[in-house]
Amino acid sequence: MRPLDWGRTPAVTGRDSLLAEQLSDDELSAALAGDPSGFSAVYSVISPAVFGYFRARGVDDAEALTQDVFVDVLPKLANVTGGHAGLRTFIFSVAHARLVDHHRRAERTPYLAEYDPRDDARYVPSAEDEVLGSLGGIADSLSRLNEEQREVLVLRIVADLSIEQVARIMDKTPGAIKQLQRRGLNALRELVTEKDHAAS
Amino acid sequence: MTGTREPQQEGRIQAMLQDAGLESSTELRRSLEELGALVPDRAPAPRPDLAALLARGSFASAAATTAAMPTVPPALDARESPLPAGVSSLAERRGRKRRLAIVSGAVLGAMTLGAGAVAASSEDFRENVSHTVGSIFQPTGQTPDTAPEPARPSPSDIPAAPVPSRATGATTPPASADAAPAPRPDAAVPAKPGASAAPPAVGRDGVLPTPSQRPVTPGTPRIPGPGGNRDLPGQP
Repeated sequence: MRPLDWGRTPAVTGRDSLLAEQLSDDELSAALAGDPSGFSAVYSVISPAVFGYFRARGVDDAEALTQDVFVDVLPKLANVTGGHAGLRTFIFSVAHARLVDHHRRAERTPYLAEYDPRDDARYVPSAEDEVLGSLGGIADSLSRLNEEQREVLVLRIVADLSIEQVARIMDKTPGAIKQLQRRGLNALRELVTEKDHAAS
Repeated sequence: MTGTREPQQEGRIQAMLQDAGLESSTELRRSLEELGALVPDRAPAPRPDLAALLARGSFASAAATTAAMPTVPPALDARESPLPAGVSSLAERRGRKRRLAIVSGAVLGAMTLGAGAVAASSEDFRENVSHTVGSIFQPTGQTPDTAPEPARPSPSDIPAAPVPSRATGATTPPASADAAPAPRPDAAVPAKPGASAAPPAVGRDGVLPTPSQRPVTPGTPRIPGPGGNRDLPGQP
């Protein structure tokens, strides 16, 4: 497993200064021992990435899901092994499972809302809308990728995980993850260049 | 994004692009950096239950066990650890559902057994069931036989049986009155003359002048004659 370069001790103990820094060995040990300062450090360092992961995957209430993950994860830290990488892998494996559950629940739950012509997808967008939409950014491009390719790219970049960690979370081999990553990048490049050409 | 995270993320994006042979694509690089920028600088403010968990900590007794960090595969088996108060696990909810199913099944089974016992102890119910089952499983050819069966117990047939005995009932009155039987033998004798009651009929109807059929008792008609046909019992 590729060792992660965890740096200095962040001065994070309270709720008011939850800056995303890096986790020290002492804080990791404190967290695994169930110490409140360790919990706060783990939350302040890793929760932004979890939040970004849910945001990149299109979860509407990413903050609530992030907090669900930590409510679930923190009490179980005593059994976590593998150091910093093991902790991060564990937290994102729980986040991945939560995301799968969230999508399944969203598929079963009917979407109830008042009719709004602007939300109606049954129309052909105008050229202006297409141009404006092309500026929408990465979320739109990601949504056109294959589900597994999207998950690999988000876990690699947003969650900052190695190939091996992603393979463990998605229950696949590292070779399969590399393949998905390569194909995802190629597909994303085509989408991005298409947009650039359309915009220009 | 913090200063320590950005260079690390740039290095990762660079490595990924090189691995895919796409390091020359600036649009793709920009998109991946945009993707990495979805991570906020600050952690979201914890809601009350999470804040309580962060402030309280947990499993303090297990502190010593994690001092040494083994390098065994990480983490995924950590889910089996006991949960603290206030945290619910999905496994418990599943267990609750299963428990509910088992209890409802047991209640249904007990109700079925109770209803069966009550039914078995009632004779009417058994008769009805046996009759119903019999009528269901009997071949259609025998169905007419089933019709008289219910008729037997019906009270209307009980007087029906004495009906044929009415003929004899006329003779049975001796049990009630002894005087009646006495004239009966007598009446039996004049019965033939009573049979010869035809003569008054002859008298009535001149149309039936065929008394030649009854010339056998020409003299006897006189006896009943004054009494008339119906007065035979009254005469003695």
